[in-house]
Amino acid sequence: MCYYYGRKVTRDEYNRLKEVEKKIAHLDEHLAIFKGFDYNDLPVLRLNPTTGEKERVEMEWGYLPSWIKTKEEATRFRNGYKSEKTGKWVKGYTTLNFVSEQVQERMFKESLGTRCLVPFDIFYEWMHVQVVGKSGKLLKTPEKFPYLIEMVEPGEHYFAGLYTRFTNTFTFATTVANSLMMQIHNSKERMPTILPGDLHQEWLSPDLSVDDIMDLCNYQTATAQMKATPLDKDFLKKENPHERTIYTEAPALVY
Amino acid sequence: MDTPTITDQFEVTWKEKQYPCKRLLMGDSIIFMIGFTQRPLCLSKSIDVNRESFWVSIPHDTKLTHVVLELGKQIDQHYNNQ
Repeated sequence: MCYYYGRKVTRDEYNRLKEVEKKIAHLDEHLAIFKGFDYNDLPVLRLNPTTGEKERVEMEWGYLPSWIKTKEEATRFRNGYKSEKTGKWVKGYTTLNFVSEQVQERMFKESLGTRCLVPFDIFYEWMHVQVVGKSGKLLKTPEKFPYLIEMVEPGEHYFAGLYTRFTNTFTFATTVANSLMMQIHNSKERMPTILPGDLHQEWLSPDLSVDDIMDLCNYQTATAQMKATPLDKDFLKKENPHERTIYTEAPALVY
Repeated sequence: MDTPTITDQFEVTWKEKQYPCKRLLMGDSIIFMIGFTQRPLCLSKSIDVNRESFWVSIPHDTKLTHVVLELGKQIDQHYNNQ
């Protein structure tokens, strides 16, 4: 016999409750939909800088380079600001993800040595479809159709990420879209770099050369390993946004 | 890991405020998640060696006994009234 919450329960029941405890540890992550521009703290996997052991830690999504020292600087960096010198608007940077091919040319270069895995089970992307207005001309704003994208193999999967210890922020790599993502994310024709199981350890390995990093950053998951489900346009406003309601007006995808 | 499925959603009351309560199916276990702002509270119904059912917070926290009793009662009422 065992005790749980001061009550005598059978060993089977005790084990069941302990199992539920484990599952609940990641419940918030499962139920939440994280929007990039909210700059949430999210879990990432990395090697502990001191012990070298793999660990799960929380960091802010939206990379801030090491020269950003204050909250005000972070806001200016992300949202842009009016230059005191010229009076002109200086555009902000979007660093939720980065273009793998350019990683050596941009600010992310300083974090090539601090790599992480960003866990996900599903993600969303919007297809842009040009609409002809009443005048017969194409409208400036395309119609947007959201899709839920997941891997055929169920479970937790990982984006290839970079982080910096200076600001405790991270970003993840994008690569050229495969044929499925090319149809959905047709405005940018990019997709996240999703590393398969045998490359997780390699991505975290401290011994990678720049060429190795570039190769892994550009890894493209095959269409056959992914599937996409069209969602209602207002799915984010639903009580349960994870509910899968097939939206028949969404353009059909070719696999 | 089992991905939770939300199978019901209703409201419970604590200290005169309404909070969302989601019924989640995780594998073969049912959990009720109360959407307290700072940190959600998870409840599950267990059964002791005398076959008597009782509500527990998961993870176990003795400081929450009175909350668990009250909210567990409201969850029972929700299903009894259906």
